This record gives sequence, C-alpha cells and structure tokens, in this order.
Amino acid sequence: MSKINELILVLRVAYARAYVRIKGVNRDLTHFFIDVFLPLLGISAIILAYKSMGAPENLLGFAAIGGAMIAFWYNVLWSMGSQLYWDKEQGNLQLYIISPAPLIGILLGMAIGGAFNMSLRAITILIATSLLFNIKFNLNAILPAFLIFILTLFALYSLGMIFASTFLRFGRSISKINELLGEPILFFSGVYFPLKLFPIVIQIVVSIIPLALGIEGMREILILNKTLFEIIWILILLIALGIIFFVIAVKMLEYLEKLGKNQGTLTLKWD
Amino acid sequence: MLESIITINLSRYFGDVKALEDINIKVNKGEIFGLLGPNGSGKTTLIRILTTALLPTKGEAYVLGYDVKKDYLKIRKYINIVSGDEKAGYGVLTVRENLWFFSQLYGYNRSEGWRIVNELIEKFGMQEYADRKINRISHGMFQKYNFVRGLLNNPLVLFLDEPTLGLDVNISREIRNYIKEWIKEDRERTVILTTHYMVEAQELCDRIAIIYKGKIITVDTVENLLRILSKESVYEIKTNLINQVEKIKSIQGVKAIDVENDASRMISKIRVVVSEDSVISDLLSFLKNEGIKVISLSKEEVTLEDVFLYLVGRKL
Amino acid sequence: MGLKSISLLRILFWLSYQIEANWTKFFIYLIYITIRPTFTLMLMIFIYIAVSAVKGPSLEYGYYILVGQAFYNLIGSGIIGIAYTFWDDKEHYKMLKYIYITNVKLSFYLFGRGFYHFVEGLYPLVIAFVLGAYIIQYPLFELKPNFPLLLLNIILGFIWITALGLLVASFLLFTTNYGWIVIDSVVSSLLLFGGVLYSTEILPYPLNLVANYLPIKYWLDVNRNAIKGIDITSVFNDLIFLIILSAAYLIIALIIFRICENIAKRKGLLDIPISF
Repeated sequence: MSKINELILVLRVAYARAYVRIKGVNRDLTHFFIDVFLPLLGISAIILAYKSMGAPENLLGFAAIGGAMIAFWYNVLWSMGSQLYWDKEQGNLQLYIISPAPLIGILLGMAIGGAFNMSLRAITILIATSLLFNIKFNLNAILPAFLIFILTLFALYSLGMIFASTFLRFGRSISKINELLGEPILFFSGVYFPLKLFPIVIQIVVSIIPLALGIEGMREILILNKTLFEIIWILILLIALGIIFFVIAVKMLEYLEKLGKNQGTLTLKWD
Repeated sequence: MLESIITINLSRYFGDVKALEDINIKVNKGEIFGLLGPNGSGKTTLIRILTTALLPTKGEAYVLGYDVKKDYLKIRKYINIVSGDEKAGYGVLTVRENLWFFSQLYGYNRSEGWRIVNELIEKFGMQEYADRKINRISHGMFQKYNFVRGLLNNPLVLFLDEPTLGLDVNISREIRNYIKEWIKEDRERTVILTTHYMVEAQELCDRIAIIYKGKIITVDTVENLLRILSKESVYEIKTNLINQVEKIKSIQGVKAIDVENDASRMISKIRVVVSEDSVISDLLSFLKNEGIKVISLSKEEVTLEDVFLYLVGRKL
Repeated sequence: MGLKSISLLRILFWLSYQIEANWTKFFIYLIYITIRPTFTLMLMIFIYIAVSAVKGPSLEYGYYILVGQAFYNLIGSGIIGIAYTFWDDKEHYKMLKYIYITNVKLSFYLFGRGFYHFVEGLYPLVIAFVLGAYIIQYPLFELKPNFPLLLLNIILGFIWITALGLLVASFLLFTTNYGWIVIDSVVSSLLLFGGVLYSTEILPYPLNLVANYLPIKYWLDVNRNAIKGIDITSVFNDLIFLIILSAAYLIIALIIFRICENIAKRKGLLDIPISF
C-alpha cells in the first residue's frame, strides 16, 4: 500500500470511528441534557462556595472555565484510555487487528468524536454557568481562546491515545487506574482554583498536563483579558506537548501491536 | 496456485505450554475446511495465527501465498472472521450503521460502503431489523448480522469460529445454507470452520482436520474419516450408574468408550467402539459380573463423533 | 438483629471486601481507597485557600469546608456502595436473581453490602481530614472531639445514607443505561443543597427550603460541632430533627423499595439485565 493510500485509509477509518461516537452518543438527546446538567450541579456548588466566602468575581469565572473542562479529562480516561480494552472484551479489537485498517485511524476517530461531543457539552456548560451566575467573559478574545482550546484538545487527546495503547495491557484493573488518575489530575490542573496557588516547582511540573495548561490559558484570555502574545509560553508548550504525545502514541501503538502479536495478548479473550 | 492456506511445521508456544506443534496442513481454494477439537486443543491459536493476530513461535504459514509474518497487511485485505460467541459492534448503532462502520475498515469510500451494506441487507433479508440498534436484536438476528459483517470485504478466506453457537435449528440451517451458497458462488473462496457440532461439520466440510493437544491427529474427507471405523461396530448401552470405565477399556476388542453419567436418574449411557460384534458379549458378561444392570442395548450407525472418540480417546 | 443476621452481615461484609479489594494487596488497597477522597477534599479546600490568598485566612470557613467535604465523601461512599452494588449485581454480575431466590431479604442484602462501603469510607475520611487540616493550618490539637456524640451521629448517618441508597436502588430497578446518572444526580444534589461547602441559607428561595428536609444539613452541622467538642445540649435540636428525619427516610425508603421490588417482579425486570 502506498503512503497516500495508507493515509486515505487512516482518514476514512478515523471518520467512521468518529461517526460511531458522534452518532451513537447524540442519538438520544437526554444524554446531552444529563451530561450538561450533572456537571452543572457540581460547578454551581463551587461557585456558590466562592460567593459565600465573598470571593472576587475572577475566581467565579475561573471555576466556570475549569468546571466545564473537567468532562474532557473524564472522557480521555474512560472513553479513550479504556476504550481499546472494552473493544477487546467486546470482540471489536480482533476485527480491527485482522482488517487492513491501521489502529491509529481508530484512535484518531475516537479522539475526534470524543472531543467533538465533549466540546458541545463544555460550551453549553460554560454558557449556562455564565447565565446562571452572571459571569462575564472577554468575548472579544473568543478566537485566541478557541485556539488555546483546540490546542489543548490536541494535546489532551494525544495523551488519551497513549493511555489507550498503554492501558490495554492492564486488563481488568483498568477502572482502578482511571479512578486513581481522575481526581489527582483534576486537582493538579487547578480546575476550580488558580494554578498560581501551587508552589513554583509544582507549577512547573504540572505544565506537562495539557488540561492544566489549557485551563490556565483560557482563564488568562477570557477572564484576565491577556493577549495571546502575553501567554505565548502556554501556546508553545501546548503545541510541543501535542506533537510529542502524538508521536509517542503512534510509536507505542506500533510497539503494542507487535508485542501483542508476539505474546498473543491483543486478542487474548479469544482463548 | 491451488492452495489458499499452507502451514509448514507451524508451532506456537505460550511459555511452557505448547499450544500448537508442527502443524502441516494445506487447504485448497473452493474448500470448506473444518477444524475439530475440544476446547484448548489449539484450533483457536491456529486461526489467530492465520488471521494475522498472532505470530508463530516457529514454522511457516501462508495465506493466499502471503507469509503471515511478513505480508500480514496484504493478507488482511482478503480475509475476515465471524465468531459465534462474540458481540462485535457498537450497541448504540443500528445494524446498518455498524455494517457501514466495518466496511470503512476495508477502504471503501463512504457512499460505496453504504451501497454494499444496503445490498447485503437486502440479499440476506435483514430489512426488517436493519435499522434497529444491535443491542436490541435477538441472538439469531445478531449472528446473521455478524455473518454479513464477515462478508463486507468480499473475503477470499473466511474464518468461521463456531458460527452457529447457541442458535436455534432454523437459523443454524439458514446460516449453513448461506455458507454453502457463498462458497459455490466463487471457487476462489475458502472457508475455515471450527465447530462443536459434528452434524454441522459433517454437512458442510469437504475435509476435516482433527486437532488435539496442539497436534493434528488426522486430515481427511468426512467419507474417509467415517471409513476409519468401517470394520468396527458402535454400540450404545444404558445401565445403572457405573464407575468401571478403566476396566471396560481393558477388555480386549474395546477400541474406545465414552460414558455419560446421569446421576439424577441413576443411569449411565455407554457408547463403545468395538473391533467386532462378538466383543459386546464379553462386555455384557463383564457388566453382569460386576453386578451392573443393563437397561438397553442398541447397535448404532458410525458417526463422526465416534471417529473422534476413536482417534482422540474422548468426546469432543 | 438475630445471630443469623449478624452472621449474614459478616458474610456480606467479607463479600464486599473481596469484590473491592482482592485485585491487590491490602496495603495497596488502603492507599487506593484514600487517593480519590483525599484529592476531592483538596480540590475543595483549595477553594478556601484561593479566597484566603486574596482576602486573608478565615479558619472558620476552612473548617466548615474541611468537615463538610470529608464527611460528604463518606456519604458518596455509602450511597454509591448500596446503589452501585445493586446495579452491578443486576446488570454486570447478573447475580440479582440468584440472591433474590434465597431467603435473604434484598433490602437486607443491600444494607449489608452498603455497610461495608460505609465502614470503608471512614478510613480515608480520617486521613483526608488530617491532611486537609494540615494544609489549611487548622490547629488540630485544639480540637476536643465529643466522641460519644460523634459516634451517635455516624450511626445516624449510616441510617439515612442507607435509606438514600435504597431509594436510588429502587429507581435502578427500572432504569436502563442511566444507572450511574441517577446515582450521580443524587450525590451531586447533596453537594449543592446539603450545606457541604456553604451554609444552605445562601441558596435562593425555594431551594433553601429543600435543604431543610435533607438530613445531610443537620448531620454535617452536628459533625462540625461534635469534632470541636461542643456539648450535646448545644446541638440538641439539630440532633432530634436528624433522628426524626433519618427514621422517616429509612421507613419511606423501605416502603418504596418494597413497592418497586413488587412492580419489578410483576413486570419481570428483576432477573433481566437491561443495560449491558
């Protein structure tokens, strides 16, 4: 297969896998309502807590942005990280393996579909929070904020692809790993509070978490009215992380497929 | 090239466990080739290697002339698999959408994918439930969908792993008919079938490989396999509960025996292959001496099951 | 409770432990169950730290959130313990029908399974509480807990949390793919309306009235006072109201569960996994 044909196949597979995600999840609109409603309960509690302590308006906006982004992290863990494992249990993975479709196309499609679904929800949550608690965002800076948002998703879902390849080997303990990673990463991403509260060493360490960077970047732009130029380091880091994570994901997937074929773990359920 | 599958001294070890050892088979194009063996005999490992999901430890395997180790990408275009105990697909999507999704894994463009899917749905009479989610259809419907999914890329080699598992008689028959028609349509095609149902193997397979503990015991046509026992006789004896199986085995002329105990009814069903009819009187005397009551005795037609019992020493 | 019930409770406790913990060593399991509650608590107390950084520290707020969130985690553990067990047994392990045809009452079975999760939640509660107090620099050694009052309150907590778990389980008899959503909605609503992070008085009318009929509000207040060592007479009214509410919740939950169980039996839903 020539490189061009291979690329076309990757894109076709990615489109089809994204279609499954988007069509499947949005067929029933109650899912959408619930996905927005549930996080809204939690974010409202946080904003009310801030209000009860007489916190400055900025912190309310910070919590709204961070709260809306939480869904992406859970999506990366549960719908990216664990997905190939579920696919294996279901029998889909062996069909992927024995077809000419490259696994990277499947992962790419999962990422695009998941990111699209979650974006619709996150934006709705943000608008709802803004209306409910009268939180003002710098709407003139929507485009730079969107750029940060897209780069965050690129880096975050590339990380998700790494998880998908890695977690496949953990088998049944996968839900435990997801649970262990869930809240700690939300905490270190400062979803409800500014990252600057952390000591500087921790701030540096957490800048390898795309979620932390993305939330920080969007807050700086939408709440603190900074320009893209002023937070260029976030932009550069997000691009770098995205590329690095993506390359690692591709390499890991290749390695995993080889290892799986050697050891027979990829389709083990079959035995 | 006449053969679609060739294996040469193919072996696969998982640590100390020898899942396959020195497998040598040739499967011809246009053939339905059966793999018969109990669970853990190695037939699944063999299929995993041939479908490029697992590498052999040593030996060689070729599918359509391509090496499973090096040319796996070329092989994947021409093969597919249908497994009876899997629920492959996405429950949130309909039958039609799932089929379309799988068609995309084989490089069809979007509209081409829909066209092929719609044609297959019509051909296999699935219109009634094509737009229902796959987690809302019956097991029979699901297995039909699964079978159609296996045909999406118009494979040249189709692996069927227990395709009628748990299905009722009518749908099983329907699927068996599809298999027969499908192979007749194009003699370049090959089916590799694993099944627990001897009748299915007997009805469908041109040749059968009996595989046990990772080794091929024999490969032959159904007729030739049945001929193995052409001189022997098969009897079925019902008695009260027995536990003297080993002693019966030691009676001269007893070639193979299988005992099914029904503890609730206190009955044992003995199926025995004997070298000649006279051996059965020795067996009956033995039972009498042991104080075992014989409820019934009948001479049976030789089946593939008996051949299996004779060759392997146990039932499938 | 007879000897048989106690023995059964012990078996259910063991079963729950095996299901939750037998994938690893005991020590690792202890760490595992601590991480989530601890980080959830940290997320919340950093809200306090964020405000303190601007307005200066107000330890009373810190203490309010610290106790509120630490005990809220226990509520989550208890409700999820019962409701999720039920859902998992029905939909995943497909065990419900086998349990149902034994002579053990389903509500007692769930009570037993939930009891484990409640007890399990106490350990991370203590760890998270101590760590949280350290982070907000709350003088732990000045606390003189009224242990009998605290113990009484924890028992009351177990009662109303079990009741809520049973109510959620009643709904789960009929839901398809919404098991987690029902559980999450109840647990999240308690965060919003239960006086966990702030006094319920700041809730807009009529939401603040809803809070008055939730046991969580009184339960957390009694906990806050009991840990500080305040005399039982100072929280007497809250305690009486909590006892009445806990009893009422339990009775209502048992009645609703029984009704739902009968409906589900009539509709044949008890032994049919709907979602997987």
